Amino acid sequence: MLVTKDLKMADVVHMNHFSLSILDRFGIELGFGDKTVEETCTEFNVDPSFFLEIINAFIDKDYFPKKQLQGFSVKLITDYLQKTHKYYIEIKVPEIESHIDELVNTCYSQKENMSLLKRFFEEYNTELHHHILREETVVFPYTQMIEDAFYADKIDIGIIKHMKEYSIDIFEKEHDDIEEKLYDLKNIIIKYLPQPNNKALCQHLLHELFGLEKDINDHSRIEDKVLVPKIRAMEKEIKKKAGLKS
Amino acid sequence: MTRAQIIISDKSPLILLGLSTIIEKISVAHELKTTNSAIELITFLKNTIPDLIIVNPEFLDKKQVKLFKEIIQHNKIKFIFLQTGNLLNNNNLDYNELITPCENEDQILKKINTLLGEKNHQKATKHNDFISAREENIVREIALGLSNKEIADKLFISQHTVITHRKNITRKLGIKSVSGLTIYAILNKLISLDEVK
Repeated sequence: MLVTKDLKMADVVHMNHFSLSILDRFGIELGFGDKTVEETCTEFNVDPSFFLEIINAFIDKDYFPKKQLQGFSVKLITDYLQKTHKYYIEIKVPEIESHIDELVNTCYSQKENMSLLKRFFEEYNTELHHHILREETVVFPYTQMIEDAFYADKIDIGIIKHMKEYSIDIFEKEHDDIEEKLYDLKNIIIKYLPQPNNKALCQHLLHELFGLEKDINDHSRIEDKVLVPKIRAMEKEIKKKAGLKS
Repeated sequence: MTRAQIIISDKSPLILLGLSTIIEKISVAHELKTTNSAIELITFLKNTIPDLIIVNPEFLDKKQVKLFKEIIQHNKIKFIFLQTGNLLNNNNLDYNELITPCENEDQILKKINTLLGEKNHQKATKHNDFISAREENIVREIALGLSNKEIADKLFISQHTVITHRKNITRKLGIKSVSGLTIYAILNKLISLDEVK
């Protein structure tokens, strides 16, 4: 079912409780009574149409409004992406870490193996941090610069020079698969790790990993299918304006 | 890796054949010897110390029973009483387990696995059908941090073959990253934790 602007916000949460993390990212707080999606968004200064596309893309991965999403400004998109970064680093990862710690501490049947999992997740965490840092210090500023240049009347020669050194194609190429290790971790627990004594914790951890993986997949989809094509089109246009062959 | 040495002895070739077919299925690397002669059994025990003996002592004579008892007590060999006759254990032999012909395969395997598991707790290899022995070798080298080229040189195969192996391993195991494969290798005792830097 598609979320529309006239739907009650409370029903959106009932429909898919994972959407709570999306609401949180937009700064929308619970307690919305019978207000509709549009009303709630306005109250919290959120662009309702942007919110709708994001939430629908998140709930149903087959619904992927590439065209609509590409219509939004780069700033709106990267702001959202940055908020998801923050959510991973500040909430999700520490949550999973504490699960793993608890798992290590309460496990007596295979302490060594549990420590292996811990080490593996630490490695993943480092990778994730690195990935996010790169996007926020290199990629996002670059996309903003391209958008600014796109709307400027005159093309600055510095921009063209910059575009020769770095382009969205480079980002796409080096955009590593950050879900890979998560996928491995899940499979190791599901298929290969002998069931530890603290089963419930182990299942809880798996549940969290599935959640994070879904979220990161959604995040990467927005980067690869929305941000990259949008910037690429702008790059082309800028080159054209500057009289360069694209 | 040392294999577990197992000897089974009974006068009936039917029992011997049946039991060895079942034992082949245990999850511990092992070497199996069967004999239906009491003399051969005693001679074997004088020269070798097996990890597990599965014997029906009823076909040993008094002197042999005494000798047998001494050997297993002295070497602390695990002993499964194979009760194929109608007689109960009247030889005053201490045994770790008892197997009777009316037990099913699972029960028998469980008993043997438990006893051997106690013996080589650390050494027991978990043989599984996930990947082939060759692929296990490759996983081992990957986990040790070798590059495709280094693996190729070490195993005398082409880099292309190494890449094909790696693709198959990832597909079969559902693990893509090197650190993921390392954990797999440790969990399946292909390498020890100390070997990983």
